[in-house]
Amino acid sequence: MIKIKDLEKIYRTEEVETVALNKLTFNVNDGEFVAVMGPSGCGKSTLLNILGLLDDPDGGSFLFNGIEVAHFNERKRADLRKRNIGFVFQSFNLIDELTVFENVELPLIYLGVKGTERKERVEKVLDKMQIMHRRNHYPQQLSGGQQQRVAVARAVVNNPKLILADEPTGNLDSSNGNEVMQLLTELNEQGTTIIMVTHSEHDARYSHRIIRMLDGQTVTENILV
Amino acid sequence: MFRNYIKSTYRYLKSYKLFTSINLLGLATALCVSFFAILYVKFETSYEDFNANENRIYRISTDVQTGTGVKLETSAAALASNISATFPEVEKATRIFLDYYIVQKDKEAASEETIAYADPSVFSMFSFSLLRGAVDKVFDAPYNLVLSEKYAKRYFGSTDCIGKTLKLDGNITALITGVMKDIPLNSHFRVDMLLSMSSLIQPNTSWVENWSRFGFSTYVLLKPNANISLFKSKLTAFATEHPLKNRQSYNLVAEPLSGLYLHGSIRENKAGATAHGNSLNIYVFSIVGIFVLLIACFNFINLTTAFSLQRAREVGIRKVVGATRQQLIVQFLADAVILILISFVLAIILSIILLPSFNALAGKTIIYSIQDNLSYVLALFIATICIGLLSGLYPAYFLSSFKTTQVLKQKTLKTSGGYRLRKTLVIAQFVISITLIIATLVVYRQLHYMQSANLGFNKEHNLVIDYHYDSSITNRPELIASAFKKIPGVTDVSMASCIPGRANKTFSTTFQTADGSTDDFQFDGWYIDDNFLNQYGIKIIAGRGFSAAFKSDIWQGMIINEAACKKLGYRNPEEAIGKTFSRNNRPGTIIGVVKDFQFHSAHEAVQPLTIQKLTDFYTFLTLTIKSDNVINTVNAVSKEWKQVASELPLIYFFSDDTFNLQYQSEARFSMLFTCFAGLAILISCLGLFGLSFYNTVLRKKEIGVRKVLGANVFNIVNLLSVDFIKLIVIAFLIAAPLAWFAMNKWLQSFAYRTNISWWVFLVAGLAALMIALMTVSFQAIKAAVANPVKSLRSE
Repeated sequence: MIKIKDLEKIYRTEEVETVALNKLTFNVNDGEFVAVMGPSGCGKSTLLNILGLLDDPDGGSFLFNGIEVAHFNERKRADLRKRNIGFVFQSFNLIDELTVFENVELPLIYLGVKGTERKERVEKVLDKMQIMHRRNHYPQQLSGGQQQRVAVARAVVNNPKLILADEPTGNLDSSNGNEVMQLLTELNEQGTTIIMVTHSEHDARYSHRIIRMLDGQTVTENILV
Repeated sequence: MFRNYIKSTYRYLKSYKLFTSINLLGLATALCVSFFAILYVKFETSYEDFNANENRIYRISTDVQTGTGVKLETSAAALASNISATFPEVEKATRIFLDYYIVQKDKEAASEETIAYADPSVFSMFSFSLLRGAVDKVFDAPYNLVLSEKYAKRYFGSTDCIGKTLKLDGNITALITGVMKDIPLNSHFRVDMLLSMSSLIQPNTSWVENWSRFGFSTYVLLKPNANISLFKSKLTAFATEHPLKNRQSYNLVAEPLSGLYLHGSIRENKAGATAHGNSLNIYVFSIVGIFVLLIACFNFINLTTAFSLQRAREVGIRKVVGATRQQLIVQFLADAVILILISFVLAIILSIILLPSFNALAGKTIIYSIQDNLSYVLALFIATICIGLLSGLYPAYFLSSFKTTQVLKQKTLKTSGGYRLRKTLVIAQFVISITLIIATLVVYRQLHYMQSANLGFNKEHNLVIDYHYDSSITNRPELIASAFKKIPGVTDVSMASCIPGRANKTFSTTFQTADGSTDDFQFDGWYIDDNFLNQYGIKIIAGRGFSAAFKSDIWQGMIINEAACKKLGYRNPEEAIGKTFSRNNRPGTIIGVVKDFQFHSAHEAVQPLTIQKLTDFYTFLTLTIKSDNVINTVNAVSKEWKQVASELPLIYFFSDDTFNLQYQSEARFSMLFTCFAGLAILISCLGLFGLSFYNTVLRKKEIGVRKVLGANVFNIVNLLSVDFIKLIVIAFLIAAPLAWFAMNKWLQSFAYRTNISWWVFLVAGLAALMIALMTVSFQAIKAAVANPVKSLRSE
């Protein structure tokens, strides 16, 4: 599904140049669950942003389903993103002014899905995440675990091929964290490819493969399954 | 999709209450002000548009050439018929003559009303329609009266009043022969009573052939294909063929009816001039309306960009889940439009509530109701949406440009984005506000100057009764004077044809000039009794005043003022004494010269004035009263009045009120300026309040750190306020010369004017600074006294 080769990202300020990704190369296959680990500042989040088409690389190649997307413009990236990729963040990133239902509905609105179908799909996914009873609540009225489940529901509502998770349990206690990891595992078992950035060895063990990074490069790869 | 926009806008506005209320309050007020400005400008520019023949009607007036320049007069009675007979391009001509009467239906209620004597053709010249009575019959005889619908209902309860009568000045019976639709509000002369022209001409038959007895407004309707420039040049030739009896020459001018209200010259008779507007007011209204709206729009742009940083994360999330930049721009534009539409609804409600006050402030009924002007509401609605889109454009672009990867990392985005723009807009707002404050101060000072400057006469404590030349007074002036003098609160009594501040007649007079030759002059003319000059405190600087000891003072004596003295070429007042004059073929000599006094408005320099003594021309009885126990004195005067003039109801006023009435338009102007300046500064401060609130939130952590390191409240307030103060100072530096330039130009329209003192600028600058400082420091003090641990922990 993903093939990156010699991927580079350099942040420049007036005086300092920071190499975030240094000729990074790796592949992710369809249906894989990959964990990316490494110390702070090693380039994990930059990698995830580029994989999520939120940021563009300064060099190298990035094939998404066989298409070179490294130099896509904003509009093309947005289009590819909304059809194929779901995101789960450490801080949930729900919109405070929208209810649970409306937050989950949002990707479908931007995809142009009709109202009745949207309702059906959102209810289905809320049911699956067991937060249907909270559908009319606002994010502030939910616990952290519930918020993350809403975020996961939002990430999967448009049936993306790829889910990118950025420390999805970072803001949760262990039991809520485990629940979220269980959810991701189930999604993966149903065929969704997952790439997860994490600091937690415990969470990483849910994945098939761990890529360890340092200074913008891959240092080791552990295959767990 | 759109429903989603509306929903999220609604919730966004609800969760940012401060932002929402500031914007709603500012925008609604500004829209209301602009709406009123539009209505006012529309009304002022709509004068005469109800007339079907508006573009073919011209008013013909007289410019009298005197040895001292041009005197603007109305026209003589003879003009209308002569013009009709001479000019083939004239379809018809008509005359009106403004006057006023005390009108009574019965003994109890009386009121002084402006009336117009009119020719029957007035109904076909102007689009005035008769509801009762026939056009060719209504003015068949003297004192035939046509009432407006409003007055018919006021006096008789319905328009069914033909054949009924009203009493004029207590002794004339006017027969109602017609009822007309009310003359539209936007007519340059509005009366509710038209009297047949024969009522005026029959007792004054000599006027028909007197080309220097002015007071008539003559209107002509030109044929559809008439050449107006040719007509005007023929008028000039006509004027030379119909010279005045004496050596004065004059010119006839044709002014188009459509421009009469705003651009026509002011030509008075005793009852005053027809209504005239001021195109400056239209500019001022338009500009100020736009300014106030701009200030509110700047607030919107400023606050949206500032508060948008709080929405940065939302932008990021929406982008992540698939929103394109265009979709976000549309969403944020929808925010702006929805907000401004709510403001629009509030503005309309506000307009409905404030309409009576607005009409009062404008001094006339601009509109009766907002509901009757739906086309303007619609126009405002469309304008509102455009304003919403324009003001929303920058914030929408700004917001949608946030980088997803950056904004998702932090709860609020710290960026200098839009900072420079915000500063510029705050400066612009305060330039407008400070300019308006300075303008207000200057207008107030000028008004005060005009009303309280040394006028050269006493205007206080004078109770004036206009007795409409009533014979019961005119026939026994001495008796009347002594009767009123007996009242304990009355200290002095006089009679005259005019008092300061009222319009007066002008007269053609032949004078012996300094070099011994004679020349004709058209000068203002008053008639007064022996005591008038003394009572009003008008100083005699040469010769003497009128006295009963000199029988020849009647007709043959004349007092002139300094201005007349100069115009006649005398080197000093003493030189004028004993010089001869002739008016209406009656010769006489100048017996005194008075110091110039401000008998008309300060807009014009003191004009040459001639004063004679002739009982028949008096109509104002002035009683000087003691300032204590005024009510008792007035009651006693009222009682005495019933004794001396039983037929005529007592209608009185105070001479200072009538004098100040001349400055009514300036008084309104200053009231309006005060309102506008107040609103401008209020809306500006609302914006500043919002910005300072935001700024404080943004620097919460910095404030915490500084406090931990030892900063006190003053240091923090200073830190948070100094940037804003700089902006106000810059705004002041820009506003001061602008305001000076504008107000200096405005003051040029007054012959007597105040100067623009330096302290006006100082006061305006300090006021703006103080108000801004109070606004900003409210937030700053709140932040400064907060516990730093809180802000540091929350970070």
